[in-house]
Amino acid sequence: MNEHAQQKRDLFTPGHYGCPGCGATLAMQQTLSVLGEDTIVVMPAGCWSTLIGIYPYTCLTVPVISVAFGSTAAIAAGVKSGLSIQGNDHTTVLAWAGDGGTFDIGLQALSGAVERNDDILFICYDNEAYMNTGIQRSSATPAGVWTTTTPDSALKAQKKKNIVEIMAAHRIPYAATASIGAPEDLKGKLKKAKDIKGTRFIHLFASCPTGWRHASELSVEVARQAVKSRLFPLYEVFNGDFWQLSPMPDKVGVDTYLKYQGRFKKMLASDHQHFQKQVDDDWQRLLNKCGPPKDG
Amino acid sequence: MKKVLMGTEAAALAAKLARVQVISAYPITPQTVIVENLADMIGGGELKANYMPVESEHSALASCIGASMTGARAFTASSSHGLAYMHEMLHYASGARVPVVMVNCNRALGPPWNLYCDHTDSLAQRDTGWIQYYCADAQDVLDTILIAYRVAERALLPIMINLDAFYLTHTSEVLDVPDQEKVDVFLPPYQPSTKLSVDDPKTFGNVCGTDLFSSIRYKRHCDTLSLEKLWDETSAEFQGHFDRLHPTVETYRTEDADACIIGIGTSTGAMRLAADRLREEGLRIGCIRLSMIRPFPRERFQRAIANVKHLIIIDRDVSFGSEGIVAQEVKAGLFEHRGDVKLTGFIAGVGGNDVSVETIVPLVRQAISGAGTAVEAGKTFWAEVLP
Amino acid sequence: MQPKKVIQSIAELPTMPSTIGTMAWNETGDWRYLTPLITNKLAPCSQNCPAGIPIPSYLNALRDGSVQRSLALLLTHNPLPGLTGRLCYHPCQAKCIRKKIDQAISVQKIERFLADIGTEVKIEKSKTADKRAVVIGSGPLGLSCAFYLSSWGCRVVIMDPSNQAGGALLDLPPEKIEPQVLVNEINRLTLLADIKLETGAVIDFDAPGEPLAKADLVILDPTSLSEDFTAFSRAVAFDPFDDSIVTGDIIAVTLPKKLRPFKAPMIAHYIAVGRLVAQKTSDSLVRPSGQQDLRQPTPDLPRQAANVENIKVERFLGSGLAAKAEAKQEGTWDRERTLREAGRCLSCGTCNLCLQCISFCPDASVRLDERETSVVVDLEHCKGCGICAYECPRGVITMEEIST
Repeated sequence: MNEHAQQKRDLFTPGHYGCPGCGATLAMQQTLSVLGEDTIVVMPAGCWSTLIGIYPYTCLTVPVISVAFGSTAAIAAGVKSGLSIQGNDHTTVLAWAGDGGTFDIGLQALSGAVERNDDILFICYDNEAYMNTGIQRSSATPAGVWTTTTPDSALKAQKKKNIVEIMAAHRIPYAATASIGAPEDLKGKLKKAKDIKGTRFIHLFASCPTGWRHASELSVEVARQAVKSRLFPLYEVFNGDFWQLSPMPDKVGVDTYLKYQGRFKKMLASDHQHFQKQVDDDWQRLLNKCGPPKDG
Repeated sequence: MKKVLMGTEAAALAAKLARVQVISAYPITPQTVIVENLADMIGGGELKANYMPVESEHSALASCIGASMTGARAFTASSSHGLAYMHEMLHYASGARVPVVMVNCNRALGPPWNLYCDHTDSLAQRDTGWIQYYCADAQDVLDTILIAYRVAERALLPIMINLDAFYLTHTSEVLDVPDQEKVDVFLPPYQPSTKLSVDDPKTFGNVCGTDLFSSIRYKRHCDTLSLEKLWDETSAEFQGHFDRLHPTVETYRTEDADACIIGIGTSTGAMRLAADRLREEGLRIGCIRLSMIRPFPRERFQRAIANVKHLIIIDRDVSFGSEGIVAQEVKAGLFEHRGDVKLTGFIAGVGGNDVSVETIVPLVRQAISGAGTAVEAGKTFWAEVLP
Repeated sequence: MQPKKVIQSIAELPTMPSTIGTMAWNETGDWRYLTPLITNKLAPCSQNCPAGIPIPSYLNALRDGSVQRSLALLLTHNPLPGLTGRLCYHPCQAKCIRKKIDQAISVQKIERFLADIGTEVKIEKSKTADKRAVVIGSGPLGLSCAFYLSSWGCRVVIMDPSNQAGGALLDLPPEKIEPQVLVNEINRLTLLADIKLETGAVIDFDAPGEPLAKADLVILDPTSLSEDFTAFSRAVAFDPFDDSIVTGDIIAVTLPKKLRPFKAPMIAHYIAVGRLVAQKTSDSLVRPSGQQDLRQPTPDLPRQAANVENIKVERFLGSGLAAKAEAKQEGTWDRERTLREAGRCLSCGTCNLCLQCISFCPDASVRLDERETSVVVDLEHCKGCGICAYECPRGVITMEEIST
């Protein structure tokens, strides 16, 4: 454990511009603590590309390239290709994009990389909106949520896009969901993903106090509740076929999760039952696809 | 060794001779021969490189940038809409200072769709910070790709080598193909001092405040300007190895010319024939070929027009609402230097209309006498339009 | 304040837009309006312990295998663990948070184990002052008082008029406390604290011999001497719970009503009172030189009570739990069984270096100190988000307004 803390201090340094309680920074810390220093990070426009630091300074001490919004998977694939033609097959190329850069503008390049089975680890840190530009909706924003482009007068109608299903449809070797509220599960999945060749995708739930309107100290707790309520269940998909649940605490209702966050305030008042039913239905759909959960 | 090759075949062969390591491209007419040939060379073991058949041109250039950032030599090719699709990444490549070399096949942009020669695609990208060279023939293609890698890797700027669609991409010519060993001497492997490396971790391209941004731009501008000289030095070196010169500006019979035709690309060959024919009729005509548009080769251009009285610019492109883009560049190149040169700008050859001797001669006559069939619109005279 | 390398000329500007240093110079601590305080707090068990023993502290040491360090921590508040480990009514166990999950920790059994094996522990002692105290009587209160006075730098002698040491403890039947155990406990106490114990002592205040004559203070132990003795000796009554300063050379400690007459299960109370007497009287007897004043709790021993609401039981469920509860056992436990039991302690209010605060800090602003023995906050960078406080499952971290 001391070694773990030591290493994380080295790869991720303080002084960055992340909001107090930022879930995305926790996500990166937890990720780098497993992947280690033999990692190159490719990150597009988004919260991370601005919080990382102001030029010529940075808060990460692994190599990072800050790229154009829709290009993440393509640049990452190019980085990997460049390394491998020079004889380096061991460095992990980590594509690190937000939900906008994955689900929306980045989807085409991602699909291309996955179809070619390019050897990259693509992690989407999902804070469910375009947070960096001021909390606008993305296709990862859940239905019923307030954002600046889905204000109370026009809350988001569409359900959240299911990115893991899209990845699975490509027959990707490994895809998984993970959460900053379940760090041991995340670390296990990162270790597993690190050793697989081909494209690997992790959908990583990262709370956002600023955009979700919750208290900054609750970032981890909110992520935990998302898992417990099965709104963001933990599972893995192998080769696009075999779906397996990860161990999770017992299921609870969505109330606690919703009540922590101001972005659900209007929805909570009017449409709560419907929302719970949606969560339960989606959970059942997932159960229908899955094998039994692996032991701890 | 002599070979008969199309321009696109020459480009593929040049990439192989340059020992490119990562090729990432998306097919688009008339570039397709390049990627097909390269795929074959890699599959057959002739070229040790990674081939990435990406899902769009935006990703093609992105992947090349990623590879180049690790220190690999990267290559791509595109045309027209593909180049337009890459636009964002063109800015990224030059801002990131990556020495990617790209072949662009100059083709018209739609709608309406048109597969044929037109220079608007690359000229519209002249502000992206890429070096732009326009080839006259297949030998030019092969040689300048090799020169381009050498220059790009020293200047850390990306270079676009342009080929006219079909006139150059799909026309076979006799070429002299240099030996691999000699190319290796001229073009050593790419070894950047700064790259994405876990041994020297840095962050590249994060948000920059107002304090340093101007200085970064200024430095890049200075480096781009000084590339003109670097190109000259490198092509002199190339000449030393291979006995062929590829200057940024070429002149033909300009010393005593009353008027000079000026243009870019393959039509400059027809321009020379037109000049000869007009001289037989008593008109003293010369030709200037601009091979490089960016950086604008100010010094050589000014020497080339030293005695010129009238410039006749033929653009295979247009900047709507203004005039031909080469005309704009020529005027900018002249502005402080010569205020007394007469300028006539023509738009001809867009969308694949031939710019042959038969096209050019009447335009020259019209420029000189004022009479002819090219239609005036703003500051431009358009050939080949309906009445 | 971290240095910041600044680019000052075009020549220094990297050609590729690459960074030259980290963001450490950016003091994001300025953003903060609440600051995390990481201080060990008294666990519910310790809050309920009459002697205020820092129970999780010594259980953590034991869990890590440091038996002697564990005993040393226990001895800071209880010098007779072999007695409490058999006689005490263990109110600590009644408040044990682990009860909410499976079974309370068998603290008493652990205490008993430590007492029975601990002989080589080193007690840190202040440099000896030139003051002397005599404790008359060797019951639990007197023994405790003597132990702490001596370890805090006073020269102490215990004089007991009886022929055997132990005071009221001697009246207990062997089923409650084996005579040999009592002897061993007292021997260890006097050995560790370097105290001379005279049994069969002649106490004559009118014609005091050594050491009474030279004593700066004499303390009469009510758990050993009869009330007659106390009255006869012209001692001044001293109520340790009263804040009055000690007056007089001879003081007779008076006990509150609930502790009279002597009740064996209240043994921890008597020990606590003895320690309290030592604290109250030490001002006049002990002059700490430039050395650390050992009367104050060491920095990592808690003073403030932990808030039970901050102890997040649900976080210990599932993979958060180390060992499982086992069936109880009679007598003294062996080392393995004891260590396993110590491992079940949730360490309420006491940092046990689980490092969740470090792993959940979004700003890498919580870290281990240089010796890697405690967790500290980087105040230059901490933004005060409060995640560390919220996530600490044992309530060690609280967010406070601290004006700068």
